[in-house]
Amino acid sequence: MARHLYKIVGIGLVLYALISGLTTTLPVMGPMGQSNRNIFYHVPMWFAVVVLMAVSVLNSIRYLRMTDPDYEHKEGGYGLGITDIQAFESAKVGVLFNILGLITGMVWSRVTWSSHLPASRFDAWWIWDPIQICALVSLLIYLAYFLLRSTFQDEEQKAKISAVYNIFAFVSLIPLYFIVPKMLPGAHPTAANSDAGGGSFVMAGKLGGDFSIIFWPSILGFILIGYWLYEIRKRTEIAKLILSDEA
Amino acid sequence: MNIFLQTQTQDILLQSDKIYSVLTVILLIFAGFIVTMIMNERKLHKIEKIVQDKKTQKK
Repeated sequence: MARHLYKIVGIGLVLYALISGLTTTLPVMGPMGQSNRNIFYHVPMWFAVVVLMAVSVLNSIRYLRMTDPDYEHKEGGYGLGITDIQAFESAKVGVLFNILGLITGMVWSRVTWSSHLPASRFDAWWIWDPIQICALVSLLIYLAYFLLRSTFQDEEQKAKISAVYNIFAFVSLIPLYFIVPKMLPGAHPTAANSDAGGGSFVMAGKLGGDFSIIFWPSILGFILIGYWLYEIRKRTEIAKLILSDEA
Repeated sequence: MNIFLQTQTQDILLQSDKIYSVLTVILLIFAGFIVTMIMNERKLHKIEKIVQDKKTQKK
């Protein structure tokens, strides 16, 4: 039961965020109108991306440490393979959340900034805001990670080189998510020309209590659901690895 | 445009019952996702048992 607790908590928190986020009466925030409710779904997805990519990079670092002859690992003959699977599967789920974050962002952008444009126009959905571009670049960096892995035949070489690449990919998220979008003017509430003045909108205390009571549980809920998805993917791949090895 | 947007979204969602239709669709999608996850979990549990049995047989 204890190992299922985080899944139950995750389901409960996301359900709470979905129901309360859409039905509670909330004050209108800036120019966003009622579309500001998307803050409960769009923003938590990016939190989940960062957590999942952090899990991925930690496993990549662990993999590189384990290949060190001085490092003793105690997971039988599968230790290295399992660590590589953990890094890869976590990045995969992270990319899924990245895509979902981009889609929810595009819909929000359409309603908030481009509702006067016809839906058939590309700029009705994509306004080339610095943070949109940075999010897209981060997605491309991780797609390149998958592409890199697919080019190797040798499992060990694949795992080692992609582990090194994964470290660079994660480090690139820091300027892409936390520095560049805050330095440039843009339409997001975290842009340099916003009320938060290039800082975090949430941390600057701009998020009222009505929002916070749904926003923070939603973040935890999405992270837990993402972690559950990663767990299932990881366990499936580990079972496949062991069974294929024994066949 | 902002005033129009607020009125429009409020009319569409909060001031009518459409929000409940939207919520129902979203909750159904979420329920479908959770059921798929639970089914995967059960399937995986069986596979892991087979792997574990094979390991103990080897020992």
